[in-house]
Amino acid sequence: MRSKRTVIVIFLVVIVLCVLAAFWKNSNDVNSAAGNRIAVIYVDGVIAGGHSQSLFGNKEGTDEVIHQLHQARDDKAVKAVVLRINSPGGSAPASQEVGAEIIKLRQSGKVVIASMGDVAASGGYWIAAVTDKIYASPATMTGSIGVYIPYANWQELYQKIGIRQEKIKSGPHKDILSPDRPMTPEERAILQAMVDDLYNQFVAVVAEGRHMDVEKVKELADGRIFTGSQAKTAGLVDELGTMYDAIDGAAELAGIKGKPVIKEYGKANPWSLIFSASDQTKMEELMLKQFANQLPITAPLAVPPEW
Amino acid sequence: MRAVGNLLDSIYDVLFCPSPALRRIGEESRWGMAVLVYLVCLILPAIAMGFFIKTLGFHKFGGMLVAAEVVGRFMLLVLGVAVLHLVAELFGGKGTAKGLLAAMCFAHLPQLLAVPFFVISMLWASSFWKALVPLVSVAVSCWTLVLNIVAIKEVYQISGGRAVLIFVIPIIAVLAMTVGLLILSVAEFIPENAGW
Repeated sequence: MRSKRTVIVIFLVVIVLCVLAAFWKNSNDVNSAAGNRIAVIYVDGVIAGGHSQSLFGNKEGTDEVIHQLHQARDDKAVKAVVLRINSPGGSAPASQEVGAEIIKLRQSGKVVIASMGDVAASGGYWIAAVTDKIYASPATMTGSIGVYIPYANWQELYQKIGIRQEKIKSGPHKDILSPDRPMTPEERAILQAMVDDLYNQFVAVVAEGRHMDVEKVKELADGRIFTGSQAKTAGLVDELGTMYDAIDGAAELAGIKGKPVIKEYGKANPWSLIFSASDQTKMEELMLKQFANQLPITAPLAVPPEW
Repeated sequence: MRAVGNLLDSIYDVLFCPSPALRRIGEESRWGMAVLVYLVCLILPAIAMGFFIKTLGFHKFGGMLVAAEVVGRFMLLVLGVAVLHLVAELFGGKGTAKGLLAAMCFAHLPQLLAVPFFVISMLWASSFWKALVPLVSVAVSCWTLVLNIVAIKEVYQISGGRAVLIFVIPIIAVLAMTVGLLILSVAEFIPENAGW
């Protein structure tokens, strides 16, 4: 009788010890992984400012990217951030805003690495330029450093279809970029000054981020696009490699020993995959927004014109 | 103290001498104690399995699976006992639902044996131990299955063949209903005036 009970007591003690060992192992794993985390943040599609959120968690606009950058900054376990950029650019102010937040993230002591996907041009390059290191594939399309403001004059078309728009305006330039009349030389000068100012800001960001001379950047910043390998030769990219090379590079720069734990931000949830056709802003939508509600202008674009 | 001693004896007997032990447990019908044993047999392996799943890389699913396992299997036990008791009475069995519940709770004791294997495979993450875990799980499930059938046999004092039938009939019924519903749902998509 006693031996039976002894056997069962030993058996139960072994089981309880096993469960305690499982808890101990799990907490050890959590603690060891705590300082080895690399955040991956995706910058996909046309860069546009603002915030929108659907019922099922589909988010668009740079506010979401900025929110993710803040989350990564506040997460003490995150030692480095890899920005996976797959964007032809977009709004210059939105790109600038994301760039400013990346600089803050770096100032908080975290390593930020850019990994370029198919394309990281113009506004996409603006964002990449402020990171610690840029990785691109040899065939990535990048560059397109420059700014433009699109303008279409539809006056003749309006006349043909009998549309005549009247405006009561508070000042001579309030309807600047209006498509129903030609641009005046004065307006052209105003807009050119704006574009030049934004261009100089862009060049300054690239020069500072890439540790290059402003004149050297201006030589490259004529709006042309580069392949990844051309960009590396020109000094616009540091390394040729994939996103996983960028993650390894981030781990090395951040001094992470062993295999890093990857934390992906902004992953699409199953609901958004089912209920939304795409989580990327469409170029056509952005262009149409330029003329929605007859607003004269939304934001200057840092994007290749023929995209 | 005496109750603890009896419990330890019952655990030993169920594992190594199941038929008389399960008959006695069914007759005593101490289902409160039995449910406690069942919950321990459910929760400890579920926790170990949850941690084991985390080591396989499914970090998010560990806790969810543990909760689903505990709640789902407990509900399944209660419903299962009710259905099995009904079928057993139809087969002329002489026993109580409380007795069957108590015996079936104790019949889950082999589940505890899987715990050390889950934990060892966590601590030594070799492919040998990871491959052993499913084999041990199958072996423990088979042992539990046999003890469940023995529990029905002993609680209702019927033959082994009838006990197997009582155990299998609800499963077959559920399967048949599932297949029937599947056929009906597929039939919904077949055009009414098919041209063949």
